[in-house]
Amino acid sequence: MPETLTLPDDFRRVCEETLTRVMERTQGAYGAVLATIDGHAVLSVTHRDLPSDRIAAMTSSLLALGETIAREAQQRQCKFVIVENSDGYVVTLRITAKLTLSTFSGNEANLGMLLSASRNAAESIGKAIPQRTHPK
Amino acid sequence: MRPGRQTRMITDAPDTTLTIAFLGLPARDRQLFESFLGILEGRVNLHPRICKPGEPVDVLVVDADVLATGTPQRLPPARTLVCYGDGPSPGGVECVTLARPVRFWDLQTLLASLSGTQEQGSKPVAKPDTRPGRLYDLLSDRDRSAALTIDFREFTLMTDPGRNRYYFPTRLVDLEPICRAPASELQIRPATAAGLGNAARTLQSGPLVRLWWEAAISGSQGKLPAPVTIETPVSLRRWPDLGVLRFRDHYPLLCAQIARRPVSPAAISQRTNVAISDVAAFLSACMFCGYLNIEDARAAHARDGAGRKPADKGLFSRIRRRLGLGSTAAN
Amino acid sequence: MSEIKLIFTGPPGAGKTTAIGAISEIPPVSTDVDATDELLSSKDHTTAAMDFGEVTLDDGTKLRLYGTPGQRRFAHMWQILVQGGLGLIILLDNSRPAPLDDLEIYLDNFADFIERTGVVIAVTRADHPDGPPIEDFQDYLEQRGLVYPVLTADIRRETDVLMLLNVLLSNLEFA
Repeated sequence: MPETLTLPDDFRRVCEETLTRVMERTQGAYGAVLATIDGHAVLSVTHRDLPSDRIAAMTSSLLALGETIAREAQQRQCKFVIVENSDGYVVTLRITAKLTLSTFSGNEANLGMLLSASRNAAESIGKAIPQRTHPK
Repeated sequence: MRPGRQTRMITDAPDTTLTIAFLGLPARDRQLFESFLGILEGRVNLHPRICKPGEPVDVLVVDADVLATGTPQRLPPARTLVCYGDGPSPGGVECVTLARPVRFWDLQTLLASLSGTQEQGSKPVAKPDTRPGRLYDLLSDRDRSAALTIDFREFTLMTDPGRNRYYFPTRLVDLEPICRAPASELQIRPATAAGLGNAARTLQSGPLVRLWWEAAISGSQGKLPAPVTIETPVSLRRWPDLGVLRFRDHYPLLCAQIARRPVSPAAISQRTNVAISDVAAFLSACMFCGYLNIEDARAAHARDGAGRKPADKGLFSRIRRRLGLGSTAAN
Repeated sequence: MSEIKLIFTGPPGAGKTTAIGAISEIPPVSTDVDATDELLSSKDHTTAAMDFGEVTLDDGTKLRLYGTPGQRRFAHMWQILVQGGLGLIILLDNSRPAPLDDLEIYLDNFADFIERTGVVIAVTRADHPDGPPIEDFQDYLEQRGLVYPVLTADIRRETDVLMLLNVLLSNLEFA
């Protein structure tokens, strides 16, 4: 992980608590990955063995494509991308201009609940970002 | 000036030494002069050198500003006075003018005329060379891993295999004239380390392979490189860097033909519709630059046709047309 | 052929976006995101998914030009983008710390695709004083038994980009 991504202890604690809360309160959720917009994993809380580095890069590509599709469709600012699969969901959303959050769940999860919990988590993390903490 | 240099052996004309002194020149200009003199040092019949203290001065190069504002009668005695740069004509002083910044061939022409051993602006006098061929033929007889000086008319080129560069005066940016010139207009001799250093500082430079390649293209005159015959299968050992060569449309086509499998020159020409003389020039250049493999005919026959599946020719033609790449002869 | 496409790849900053922009008839579509890592010193943005450009052939067929993300962590996109591709253009930046290592990465990662199709390798900023000479790239390929075109090029110039395509097309068509 690049040095620029080292998080201050207080902020790291908030992130860990927030991600853990999403996992606890959302039925079927099994992972949450915090990453930079250009695909570096920052922090992850998972109940399964997930390749968070690879996931971070892929979600970066996904959001970048979402943003590009929005522009082509004459829309603005891709806020989140949902990938619905036969046995689960992946929700990737933008926290700030430089941070993203992805959450993973099985199909027993309620997609609305997962999305709502992910958005609340993103908001909490966004508010907790100290000045100059996140990558320049 | 080292007596008995190899260059003296190729001429019957007498040597002339010119001592040169400078007055009032900015350090940068003086450095430029000294660099050029270093290169000229190796030329036949012309031995300019910086004047030692107390020695008679043949050529005194004086900055134009000094001449304009100073007192010419106080100038040190010299056989010839050279006014360096544009300025008001110094009254009562007879001098030759040299444009600022000094250019290599201007200086050479001036010194040649002062030495009285040759016509102004011409190449230093050398024994007429009656050898047939061109630069390519002359280079074929030489060890090209050694640094060489190539004199051609008023120009001097230098090769620097250590750095994979060649050095050339701006006016010789197009290599074709020197590569097409008859051998009688060329002189090749070893380059000195000092000469190379000066050339690297003062002349333009390019990748050496460009010179070798162009020499072979312009010099092979339709002949295949020995021992390749019209039926010898050849293949590429490595692709030429087409980005630094003088690009010709058929190069990529010919390279592609022999990149994956050996093909004979006759078959290359037939498959591409490129004239056999152009194929020969191309193969000569590849050989000269070390890019060519000569293959065993039987092994080559067994491997022939082992390329990729046939491509959609029409598609490639359409892409070429749209991008303005020009259709290949084979399209 | 369901889609006619050429793929530009290479490390960050080698000029993939520029090369596509040089020949595309539409403004290149980019999926740039803010860079947060070591790229910051040279680039503010980096491609996270792909660059995209287009050229219409005279029969109306679209030739699509895709640029891959440069960083290795986006290798998932490399494999997605080459599917059904016609050929590959590898752009290397000779001012980077180890351009020959870069070449190895792209040759290895695209080995199957190159074997099926074709490749041209372009070295940009070739005269960089700290970069290896072009002969080192040729030596490297020869040692690996690969006869691939490697050229010095300034991809800011349209003529150089067209020369790369010319070489690639010749290679695809006649090799």
